[in-house]
Amino acid sequence: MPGDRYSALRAQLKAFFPPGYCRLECQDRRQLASVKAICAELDAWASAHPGFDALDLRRESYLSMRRHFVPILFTESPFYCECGVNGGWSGARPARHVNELCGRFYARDGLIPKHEFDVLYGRIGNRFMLCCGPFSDDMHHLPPFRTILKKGFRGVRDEVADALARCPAGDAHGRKELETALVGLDTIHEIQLKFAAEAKSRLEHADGLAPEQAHNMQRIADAALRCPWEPPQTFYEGLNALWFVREVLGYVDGVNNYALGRMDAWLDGLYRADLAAGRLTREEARDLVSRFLLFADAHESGEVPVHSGDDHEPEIPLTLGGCDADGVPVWNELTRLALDCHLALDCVFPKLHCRISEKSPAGYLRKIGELLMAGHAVFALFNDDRTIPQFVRMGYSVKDAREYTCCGCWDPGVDSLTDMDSANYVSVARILEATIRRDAELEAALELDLESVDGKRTFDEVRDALYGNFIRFFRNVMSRYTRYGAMNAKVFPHPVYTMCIEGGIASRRDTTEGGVSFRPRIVTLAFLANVVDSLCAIRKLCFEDRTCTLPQLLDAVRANWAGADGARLRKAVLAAPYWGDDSAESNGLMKWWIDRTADDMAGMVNDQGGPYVLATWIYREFLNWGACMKATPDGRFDGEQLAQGFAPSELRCTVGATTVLNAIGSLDHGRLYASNANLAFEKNCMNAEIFEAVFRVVCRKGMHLLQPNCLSVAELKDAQVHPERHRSLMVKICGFTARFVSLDRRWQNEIIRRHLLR
Amino acid sequence: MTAVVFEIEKFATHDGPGIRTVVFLKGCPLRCMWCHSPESWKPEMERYPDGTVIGREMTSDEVLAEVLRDKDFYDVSGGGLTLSGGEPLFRTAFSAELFAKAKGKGLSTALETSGYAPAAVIDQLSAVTDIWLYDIKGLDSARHRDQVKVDNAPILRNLRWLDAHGARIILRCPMIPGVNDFKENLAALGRLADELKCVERVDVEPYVPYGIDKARKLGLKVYEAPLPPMGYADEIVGKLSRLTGKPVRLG
Ligand code: SF4
Repeated sequence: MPGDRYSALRAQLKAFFPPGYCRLECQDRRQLASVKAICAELDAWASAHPGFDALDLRRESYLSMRRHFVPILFTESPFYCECGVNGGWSGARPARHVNELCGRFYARDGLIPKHEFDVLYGRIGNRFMLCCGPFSDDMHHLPPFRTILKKGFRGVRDEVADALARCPAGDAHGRKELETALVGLDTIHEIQLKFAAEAKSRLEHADGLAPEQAHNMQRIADAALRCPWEPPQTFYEGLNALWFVREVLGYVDGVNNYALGRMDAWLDGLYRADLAAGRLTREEARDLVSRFLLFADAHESGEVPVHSGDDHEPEIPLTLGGCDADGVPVWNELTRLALDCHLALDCVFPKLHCRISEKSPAGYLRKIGELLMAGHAVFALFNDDRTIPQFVRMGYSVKDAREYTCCGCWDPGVDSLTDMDSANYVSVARILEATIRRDAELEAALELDLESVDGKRTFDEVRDALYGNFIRFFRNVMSRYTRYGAMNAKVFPHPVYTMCIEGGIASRRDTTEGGVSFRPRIVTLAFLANVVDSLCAIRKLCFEDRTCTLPQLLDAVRANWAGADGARLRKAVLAAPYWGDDSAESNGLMKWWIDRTADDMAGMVNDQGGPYVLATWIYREFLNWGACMKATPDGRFDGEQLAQGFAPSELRCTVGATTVLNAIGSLDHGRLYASNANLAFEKNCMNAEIFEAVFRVVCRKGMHLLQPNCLSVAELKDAQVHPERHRSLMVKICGFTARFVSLDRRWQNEIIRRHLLR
Repeated sequence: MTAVVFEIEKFATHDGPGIRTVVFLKGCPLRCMWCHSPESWKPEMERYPDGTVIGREMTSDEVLAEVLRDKDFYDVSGGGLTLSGGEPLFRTAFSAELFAKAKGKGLSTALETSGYAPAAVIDQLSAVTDIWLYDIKGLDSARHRDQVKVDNAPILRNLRWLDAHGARIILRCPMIPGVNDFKENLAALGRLADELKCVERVDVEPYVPYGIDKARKLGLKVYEAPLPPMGYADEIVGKLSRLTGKPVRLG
């Protein structure tokens, strides 16, 4: 938006965040020199100390960062937080370098046999699952916002120092964890003070600064002397603290923080106090919120051509709405400001994760509907009515549960309490494919015997054999996660982060060792709809209608539905029940699979001593993994796309909105930790009031999450021809939003092909 | 009691308040020249030449069970059941029974009708109908007879009766280019809407040529109007809005 009031800010940010920044290293010369100096010091130190362990190296990295950290300020922005890493992908240097150096421990200490990496990350792993956590614990963390908003980093430091003073003499490991954390916390303080000094220096050489720029620098010079080492005292400091906590922990500890907190719920008190005291006007607040949002948007401009999805994902979700700790709905001036400014500024990011409930205020739900009608599909809607009771069942207090924050694309957690990991996808459809085609390579690698289904005489035998293959694979993978994920503690400790999470200080154990109180590891079942559809087809054709025998159907699948017989059978398959049609057959099978898996998973303990919990969702893999998967009995051809989460397969669905939502609502979602339904609504049928009603039904039915699109095929097609007219048209792809016109043709066409609910 | 249902449309958001399920009954005494559902004219089940069956005989309980599947949606949106056709008044007893049962389940009921029925039928249905989606196809009686093949006098009489008895009414006006979109008809519509105190709104229903293929397959004939130009519907809404004090919107 050239020429708008924020064009100068946009230009400064754009110059710093190059296209594709979310996966690139910082290009700033001073930052690069700083990173180089830190890495060189760590290399030298590592060579000089051959017996070092991961905590030793963390400590040295903290000290080195303290010496070489370069603060980055933008004169158009009043915020100070930029450390040269994207906090969502802070695997970037220098913390990444620590991880890489520590990664040598795997080999040096023989922590994990080499072939296990091949199994879990290599060809087999990538084909059957995606495991993010156990081997590189740096994904999907939730920054400890409330801890810092409440007591500042200094408050955490005081508690760590106190714990160190009381640490039993015999607990050398605990002492070391606390000591290292103290060094890290002091480094954070130094970093904060460096921002103040940098701002002061800019002011001292203020010749080129416009009055507003000088005002920004003055604000930083003053605020960075105290906050967030001390808790924020103004709305401005609170906003900055959210960014600072996210970025600085990414920098010092290498944790990837996938959230930006709850601006409206947590900062409303500061905002109102500022207004009452005359420290802030509403116009100034709008300006601050705008600059806060634009900082997120600049991490990925939305102009990058999107090919795979992760080339476009800075992982900066802002949570809005829901309720406060006392259960009072959060729909305040800040919620409105965030929604209004996000639309007015044409932001793609931050992703807006809005918490909703059946009892949410109408104005709030309609506002979301209005943005959707305006082509601004940037939302993931989390259902409080499902999520809060679920956290209570997991042992959180009601007040804490009500404070949950939305993280990543669709993973809820309670900041300062939960340390979770959530990107472990297991492709159930791959197991189906391997079962039909007997994947010897997989069987050998995982020491698994897949049971054939060809000769089965009843449908139940087919279903049970397939499930048996799946659950053996699942257990096998989980046991590897548990066994080898535990090695993570010896490789990637996060001492500062640990101390900010409940349980860390008391246990004196790193979060990677299970030192914090709540540590679920989320395992997601991918493409279950394709498997349910396949089973429905097998039951109907082979055991009910007797259209063909099971071997005949499976042969047709293996032949990619070729020939007249293949086409005939495929036609019959497409007439069979499918997930989303709300039939007793498909609902029953989906429920059966979820419930069985949840039962079989109960009691499985993860590498950090917490529970494995179940989810269903999928990121871009529904297209990318589909492209390398053979045909399946649901009528899919070789290479066709797969289904997303609880959304019906796009290749099958012909029914309307209420039918699909009734089908999804037929499940007991309490068996799952989280799930996603990415559903596209036909624009002609919708308005803000109808969206409000749909959202309330989603809540009533107990679903976890809805990611709504509101599309018109005519508009999408026109956007392909005249992209310049539709630059603001946003669509939700899977976990991320993109400008429709910035998608490559493959993704654009996938969106256009989506079945629109009406 | 049974009737032949030829379509059940769920998540209907333009046929009465909130989210609704529209049940379309076969049987219509009118013959609108532009009809978009000529397959609804005959009250009995029938077949297209390719063998596809049109309609299904359903009891009111079967229809209600299907409608109730979406009760959550009605509850949160103020929606419910809309009965349409064909002409649902043509199946008076079935419509009355279904609506009575629906109201017993707490559903809102809306009747989409041409209003062409004996006064007693209107009286009977008014007891169980929450909102009338009342089609006005034209106000000039000679043209009406010519274009719709029935007199509009009973239609207008019934409308006035409903108005006098406090019914909730939304007027629905199909706009067929070159047929009933002329100035005098719009002016008369505006006057009618203003005159009737219970008319809440006027919905303009733009012409859709959906009936042509279906009529051809059934050996029937419907008029193929020229496709309205871009912005036509908005233009009509604008014109009509200037002719009545009641809200006018696109249906
Ligand atoms: S348009 Fe409606 S009222 Fe007119 S003939 Fe067709 S079905 Fe009957």
